[in-house]
Amino acid sequence: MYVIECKGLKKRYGKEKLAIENLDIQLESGRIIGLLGPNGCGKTTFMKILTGLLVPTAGEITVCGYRRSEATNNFISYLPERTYIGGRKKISAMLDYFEEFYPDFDKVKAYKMLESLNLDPDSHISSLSKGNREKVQLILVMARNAQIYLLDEPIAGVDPAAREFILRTIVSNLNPGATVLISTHLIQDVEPVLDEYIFVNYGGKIIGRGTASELMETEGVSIDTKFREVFRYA
Amino acid sequence: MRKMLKHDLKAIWPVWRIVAPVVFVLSALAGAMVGLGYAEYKFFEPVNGLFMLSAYLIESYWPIILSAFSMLITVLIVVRYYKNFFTDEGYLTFTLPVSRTSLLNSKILMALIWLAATAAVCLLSNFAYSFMVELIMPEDAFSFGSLTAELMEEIIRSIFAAEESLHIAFFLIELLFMGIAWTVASLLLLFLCITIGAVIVKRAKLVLGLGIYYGANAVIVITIYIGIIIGIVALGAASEISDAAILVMLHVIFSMSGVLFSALGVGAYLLNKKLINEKLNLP
Repeated sequence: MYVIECKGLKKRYGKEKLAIENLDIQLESGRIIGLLGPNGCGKTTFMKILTGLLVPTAGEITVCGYRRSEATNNFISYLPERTYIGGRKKISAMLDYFEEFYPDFDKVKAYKMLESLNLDPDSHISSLSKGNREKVQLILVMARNAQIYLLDEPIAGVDPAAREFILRTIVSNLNPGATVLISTHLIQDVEPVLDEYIFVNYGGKIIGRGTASELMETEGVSIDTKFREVFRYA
Repeated sequence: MRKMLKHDLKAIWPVWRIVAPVVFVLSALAGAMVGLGYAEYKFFEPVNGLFMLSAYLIESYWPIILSAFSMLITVLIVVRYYKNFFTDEGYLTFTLPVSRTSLLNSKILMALIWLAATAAVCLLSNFAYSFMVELIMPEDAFSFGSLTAELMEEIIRSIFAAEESLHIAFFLIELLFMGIAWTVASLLLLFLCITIGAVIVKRAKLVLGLGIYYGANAVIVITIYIGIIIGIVALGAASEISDAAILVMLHVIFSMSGVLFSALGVGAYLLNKKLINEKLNLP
C-alpha cells in the first residue's frame, strides 16, 4: 500500500498561475524521500495540499489508504517553512496542546529532545530566538509517532552545525516504518540521509526519480551533482 | 470541537477575569460616588468642589467604561479569529485533525459565550450602580435605580394586567429576540467579512475585512431606515387606521426584523463555512 497517492492533482492560484499541473505520484512507506526542485516548482504547494492548508483545484489524494480529509492529519506530522508558534505560551503548554490533539504525540520523547537541546520547557515562546522557536517546532513535529513526516525546508536558515543536529534529530526520532518527505535546496546536507529522490520541475512535473545508490551505481554521481545537471540554467 | 472550544475559551479568560471584576467594582464605585455626590450637594453645603468633580467624572465616564469593556472583548474575539485562521498560526490550526467546519463553529461558540458573559457582567454592573446610588442617595432625589425598579414594576404589572397591556410584554419579547438576532448576525457577518478579506487579498486582509463589514453594515442600516420611512409614509397616507391595527403592524415589523436578522446570520454563517471549506488557502 502506498502511504501517499495522488492522481491528476492540480492547483491553480487565481486564474493564471498553475502551481501543479496533473501530478500523479505514489510514495511508499518506510522511505526518506527528497523532494527536490527549483524555487516555485510546487514542492511547498504539494505539501500544503497534503496537510489541508491548500484546497486543490482538481485531483484525488489518498493518505494511508484514506481519502484526504482532516482525519488524515492524524497520520501526517508537518513542519512548515515558517514558524507558527508564538505568543506568551510556555513551551510546556505547546507540548500539552499537541498531546491533546494528536494521540501519537510522545511527550516523554519531546521533553528528552528539549533537554538535549538545552531548552527550558518553562520558557515562554515569545522569549525564544527565531532559531530556538524553529527547534521547538521541530521537536513538536518529530515527537509524534506519525506515519508520514512532511518537512518543508527543515534546515534552511540555520548554521551547518545546527543542520547536522537537525538531520540527526529527524533520523533518530523517526517512527519505524514512517515515510519522510523532505523539501530542500540544501541537497548536499540532506543527501546522506535520503533513500530516494524526486526531481520536480515547474508545474509540479516529475522529471526524475530514483534511489541514491542506483544513481551512484549507474551514473557514478551524487544526487546533488545530478540535480545540478538536470536543472542547469541555459 | 470540544477541545478547540476549550482552548478558544481559555484564550480570552486571562483578560476577562481581570477586566470583568474591575468593571463591576468601578460600576459600584460610580454608583456610590453619584449617591455621595447628591448627598454632599444636598446636606453639606458649601459643596466640596473636588468631590463633586470626581463624582461627575465617574458618573459621566461610567457608560464609556461599560462600552469599552464590550469593545475590548469584541476586539479580542476578532483578533483571535483572524490570527488563528489567517496568519501563520493557521499553519497550526488547519493541520490539526479537526474539520474546518468544527474550527469555525468553535470560534463562533466561543465568541457567543464571551459576548453573553460580557453582557451579563454589564447587566450586573448596572444593578450594582443602581443599588449603590439607591443605597446612598437621599430618598427624595431622582434615582436611576428607582426609575429602573419602577419600570420593572410597570412591566410586570402590564404583563398581568388588562388585555391590551399584553402588547407591552410581546414588544419586550420581540425586542429581545430582535436584539439577540442582531447581535449574533453582526458577529457572523463580521467573521464572514474577515474571511472574505482573507480570501481576496494577501496583505491587509483584516483592514479589507473590516472595511467590507462596515460597508455591509451601512447598507443594512440604510435599508432599515428606508423601510421605516416607507412605513411611516404608508401609515400617514392611510386616513382611517385604528390604534389596534397600528399595534399589530408594529408587532409584525418587530418580529419580521428579528426573523430577517436571523436569516442574515444564517446566510453569513453558511457563506463563511463554504468559503473556509472551499476557498481558503494559506499562502
